[in-house]
Amino acid sequence: MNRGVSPSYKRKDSIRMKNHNILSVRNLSKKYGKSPNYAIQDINLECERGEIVGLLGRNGAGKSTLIKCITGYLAFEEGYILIDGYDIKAEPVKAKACFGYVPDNRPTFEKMTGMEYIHFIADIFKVPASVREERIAELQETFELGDSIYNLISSYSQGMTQKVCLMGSLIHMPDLWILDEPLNGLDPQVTKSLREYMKKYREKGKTVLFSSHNLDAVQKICDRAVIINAGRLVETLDVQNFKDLNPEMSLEEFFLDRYGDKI
Amino acid sequence: MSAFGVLLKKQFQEWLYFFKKRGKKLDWLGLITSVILTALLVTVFLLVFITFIRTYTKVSYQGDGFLERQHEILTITYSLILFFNIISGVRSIENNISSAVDLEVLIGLPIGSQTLFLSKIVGIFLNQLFNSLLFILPINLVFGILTEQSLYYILVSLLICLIVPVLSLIIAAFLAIPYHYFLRFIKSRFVLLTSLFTILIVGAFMVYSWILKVIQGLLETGVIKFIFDMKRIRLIKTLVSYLYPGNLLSGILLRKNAWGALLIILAFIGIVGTGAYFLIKKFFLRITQGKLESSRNVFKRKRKYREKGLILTLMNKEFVNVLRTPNYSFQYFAVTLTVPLMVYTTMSLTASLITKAIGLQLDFELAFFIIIMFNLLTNTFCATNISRDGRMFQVLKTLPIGHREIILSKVLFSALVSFASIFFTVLVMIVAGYITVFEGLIIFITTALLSLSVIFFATRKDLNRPRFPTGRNQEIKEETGTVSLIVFMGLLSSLVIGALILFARILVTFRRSEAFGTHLATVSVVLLSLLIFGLSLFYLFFGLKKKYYETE
Repeated sequence: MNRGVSPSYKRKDSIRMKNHNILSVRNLSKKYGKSPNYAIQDINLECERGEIVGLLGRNGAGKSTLIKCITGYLAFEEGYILIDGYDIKAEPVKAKACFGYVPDNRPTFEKMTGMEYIHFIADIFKVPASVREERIAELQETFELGDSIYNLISSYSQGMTQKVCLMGSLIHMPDLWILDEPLNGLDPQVTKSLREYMKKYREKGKTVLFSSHNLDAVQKICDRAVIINAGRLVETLDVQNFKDLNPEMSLEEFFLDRYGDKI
Repeated sequence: MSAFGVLLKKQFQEWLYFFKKRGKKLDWLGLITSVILTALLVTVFLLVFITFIRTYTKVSYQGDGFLERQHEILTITYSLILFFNIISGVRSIENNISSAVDLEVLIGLPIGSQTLFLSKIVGIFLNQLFNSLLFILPINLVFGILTEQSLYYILVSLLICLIVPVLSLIIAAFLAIPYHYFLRFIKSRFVLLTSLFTILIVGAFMVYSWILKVIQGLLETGVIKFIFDMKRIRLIKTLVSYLYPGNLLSGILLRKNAWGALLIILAFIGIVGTGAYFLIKKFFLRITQGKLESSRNVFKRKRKYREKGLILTLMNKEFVNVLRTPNYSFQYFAVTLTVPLMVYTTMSLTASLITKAIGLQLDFELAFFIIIMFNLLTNTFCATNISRDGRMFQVLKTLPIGHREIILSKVLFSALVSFASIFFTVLVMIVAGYITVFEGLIIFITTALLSLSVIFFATRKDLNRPRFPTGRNQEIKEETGTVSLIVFMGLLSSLVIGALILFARILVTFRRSEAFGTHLATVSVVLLSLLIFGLSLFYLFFGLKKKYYETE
C-alpha cells in the first residue's frame, strides 16, 4: 500500500509502513506561542486496530494538547503523526478522513439543528445518503436525542450538545475515534451507553482513543492506559494485566499511590 | 444599604461602565467625545428648529395664525419626543427586565421580585428623565425666547419635563409585553425576520429620500414655504387634533384649555399607570422564568437530505449561519437587497442637479461612482468571515477539508451576495434608462472586481486576528478597525474612480470627442480595479496555509 507520508518518515521507518498502526505518534513536541516551555515533549504513542486506549493525566498535563495535535487542531513544531499511514502535516485531508473527533469544549454550529449538523459532517466525509438514515437511527438508539435532533443546537443543554457531537463524529464510522473528555456532562444512563458503544466499536476492529479523569471508566473499558504528566508520556499500562496482577486494587488506588496528587 | 439601593447602585455603575476603559479608568476621551457629539446634535437640531419656527409661525390659514402654528409645532415636537421615548422605553424594558442576563442570577438571590422589579423600573425612569431633560429643556427654552413666552411657560416647562418620561414609560410598559412575545415568536423565524429588516430599511430609506427631495426642492426654489401650502396646513391641523397626548402637553404650555388638558393627563397617569404597573409586575416573573426555559421548537419538519459537494456544503453552512443570526442576516441580506433602491433614489435626485450645475449629462459616470460607493460600503459584512464560525473554525481543521476550500467557500458566499446586489443595482439603472447595457456591463465588472478585493482583504484581515466568541450563543461584532478600513477603502475607491472617470470625461470631452473621453476613462477604471484586485488577491493568499494552521 502506498500511503502518503512525509519524506522523513519514509527514511526512518519505511519497513513499518507495510503493516502500519492506525495511529503513530513519534517524538512529538509542542510549545504554545512564544512560551519557552513545552506543553508536550517527546511523546511516542502507537495505537493498534481494535483497541481502546485511555489517556490519563491531571489538569494541564498535556492530554488535550496531544489530542489536538493528533487531530490537526493545533500545529506542532517537532515530531510527526501518522494516521492510518498518512502524515497529518503532509497529507492532512487524507489523514483526517480516517478519524472522528469529539473536542473537549463541544463546539458546534449552534445555528444548525442537530440533524443539519450531522448531515453537514456526513457531507464533509462524503457519506452516501443511502446509509445515513440507518446510521442516524442506530446512533439515536445509543445517544437518545429524540425529536430534539430537529431543534437548533443553540437551544441544547451541555449534555445534548455533547450527544450531537458524538453522533457527528461517528456518522462516517471512522477507523479511529478520538474523544477528549467524553464522559463529562453526560447522565449516568448515557455514560453507560457510551461505554457499551465504545466496546462494540472495538469489536468491529475500530480503535478508540480518549482522555479522561474518570479512572473507573478507564479501568472498565480500556485495553491500555497511557499516563501523561507535565507534558511527558510517563507510563503505559495494560489494563487487563494490571487487573490480573492486582485483583484487590482499583486503578484509582494504584494511581493515587503511585503518583500521589499528580492525577 | 437596602437591597433596592444596592440594585440601583449596580445599574448606575453599569451605566458608568459605558464610559470606562476596560472597566477600570474613566474614559475621559470617550466621555468628552460623547458630550461634544450630543451637544453638536442638539445644536444642529435647535438651529433647524429655530429656522422652522420662524418660517412656520408666519404661515396663516383661514384667519388663524401665530398661536395655532405654535400649538402645532409643540404638539408635533412633543409627539416625536414621546414616540422616541416610547421606543427607547420598550427597548429598555425588554433589555432590563424581560431579557436581562443579570436576572438569571438575581432571581436566585434572596431579593423579593417586587424589589427587583421596582429597581429596574426606577432605573429606566431615571434614564428616560435624563433624556427628556436633555431635549425638552433646550427646545422649550428656544421656543419660549422666539415666541416671547411668560414666566408661567418656564415653570410649566419643568413640569412637562417630569410628565413626559412618566407618560412614555406608562405607554412603553403596555407595549413591552406584546413586543417581548413578538420577539420570542420571531426569534426562530429567520426568513420573516430578514424580510422585516428589509422592509424597515426600505421604509427608512423612503423617509431619507423624502428629506433629500425636500432639500432638492429647497435648492431649486430657495424657499421653505412652498412645502406648507393650504392643503398641507389643513392636513397638519387634522393630524394635531388626534395627536394625543402631545396636543394636551402643548395645550398646557400655551394655556389652551390648560387645566382640562392637565386633568386628563393626570387621570391618564393615575389610571393607566396603575394598570401598567400591575400588568408588568404580573408578567415580570412569568417572562423571566419563561425565557429560562428552552425555546419552542420550530424546526419540527423532517425533510429529505441530499448529498452535497464539499464547496456547496461549506457554503450552505455559511448561509445557515448568516440567515439564522439576526445581526449577520441584516447586514448580508437586508442591506444588500436594498442597495438597488438606495442607488436609484440617490441617482434620481443627483443626476438632474449635476446636469443643471455643469451643463453635461453625466449619468454613466455618476452611476459608476454611486454604485461602487454603495456596494463597497455595504460590504462590511465580510469583516467577520472567519470569526463568526467561533470555536468551530478550529474544529474545521480536524475535518478532511483543505484550507483553500474553507477560505474559498467563505469568499464565494460573500461574493455571491455582493454580486447579486451589484447585478440588480445595474439592472435597475439600465431599466431606468440611466445607462446602456454595455455601460452596465462595464460597471458590473469593475464593481465586482472591487467588491471581491474588499472581501479578500477583509477575510484575510479577520484570519490574521480572529475574535472567536468565548461563550455560547454569542455573535461576533465586526472589528471596528476592519470596518473602518472597509469603509475607507470603499470611499477612497469610489472617490478615486469617480473623480478619475469624471475628470477624464470632462477634460477630454472639451479637448477631443465625448466618445474618446468615455473610453479612456472606462479603460483606466477597469485597469485600476484589476490592479486593486490583484493586490488584494496576493494579500489573501500570501502565506495563507501557514496562517490558517497556526491560528489558535
